[in-house]
Amino acid sequence: MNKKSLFDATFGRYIAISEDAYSFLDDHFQLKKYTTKEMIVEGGGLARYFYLVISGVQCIYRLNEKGEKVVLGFSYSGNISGVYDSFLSEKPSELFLEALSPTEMIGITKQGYLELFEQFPEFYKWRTYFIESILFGRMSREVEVMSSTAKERFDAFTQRCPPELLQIPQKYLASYLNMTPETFSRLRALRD
Amino acid sequence: MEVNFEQLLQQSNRIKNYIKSDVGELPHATLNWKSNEKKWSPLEVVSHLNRVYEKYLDNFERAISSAPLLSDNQILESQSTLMGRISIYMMKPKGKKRRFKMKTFDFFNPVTEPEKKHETLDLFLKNKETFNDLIKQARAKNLKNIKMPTALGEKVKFYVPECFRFILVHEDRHIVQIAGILEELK
Repeated sequence: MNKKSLFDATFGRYIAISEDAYSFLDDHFQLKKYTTKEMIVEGGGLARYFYLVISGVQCIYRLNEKGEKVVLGFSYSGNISGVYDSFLSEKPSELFLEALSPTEMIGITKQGYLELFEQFPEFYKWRTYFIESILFGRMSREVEVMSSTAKERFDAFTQRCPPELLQIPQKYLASYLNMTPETFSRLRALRD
Repeated sequence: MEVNFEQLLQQSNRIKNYIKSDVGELPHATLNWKSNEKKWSPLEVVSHLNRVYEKYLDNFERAISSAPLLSDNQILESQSTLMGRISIYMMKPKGKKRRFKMKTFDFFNPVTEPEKKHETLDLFLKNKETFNDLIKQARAKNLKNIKMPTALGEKVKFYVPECFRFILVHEDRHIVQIAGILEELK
């Protein structure tokens, strides 16, 4: 996936991108590469970029009181990624963002991000859609985690997730689905 | 149990943020205040932490760079030494209390330079960056059975993750000390 098609997929779906806006995006989104297991954002550190993912799988998690990883979500090719609250508030992140496979992303700084809306106000429309989609995603995720069975969560997840996500270590997927790795592999065996 | 590098990193960042934001914002007089000549000021505490890094960072660097890479699916199990367990236990503050009062080694005594606020704090943040980088490098390495020297005596060696923990509980202890000084000043 190249830069332009990422811009089209992310913004162009909702708004018309002018030539000037394209060149602004092209100038401000810089290529970033991460190796497997590399930290993109670390707990207690700052999230300096808002990312669009070219390739690879990334995982976002926090540590619970015992220090165990609790996986909150993934991002992969074509997605938005980053730790949005730390990025905007410039406060230390509570979350970790880690590359689970070799990753290429393009990232924009907060200054660039804010300038985008100032120079091209039509992007506010995109921002509304973006915030809405995050809200809806989080709502259905909450329903899923709080009120469905392990099997339902497993089935729903395997149906909606792209194949590249099933390649990552099972413990991450199990944690995301709020089940033990043992339950995850049992359900996986049942399905196959 | 698997070594939890992420937790080490998060703890380290918490200390860094405290020194950067809370201590860094203190007025000159507060930073250099001490209740009596035998006690340390907040700035001297930071200077002490810098001296510790001066001694330890190279040791970490050497131990980590000589270790082989961790292969896929391999995990690093936690290891500890008797002296390490004792030292971490004694160093670790309990709530706001620092038990087992101890005197530092002469070579860790702070350099008292009340005017060098920025230099001391900047040096600490730089050391912290290096320390955090070392934790991140260590995540990718197979550190099994690798020990590194400490300042506790020629024969006292710690496993690398154990030594990260030791440095962090030591810093925690001094964060409690700084909070205590600021409390006293109120």
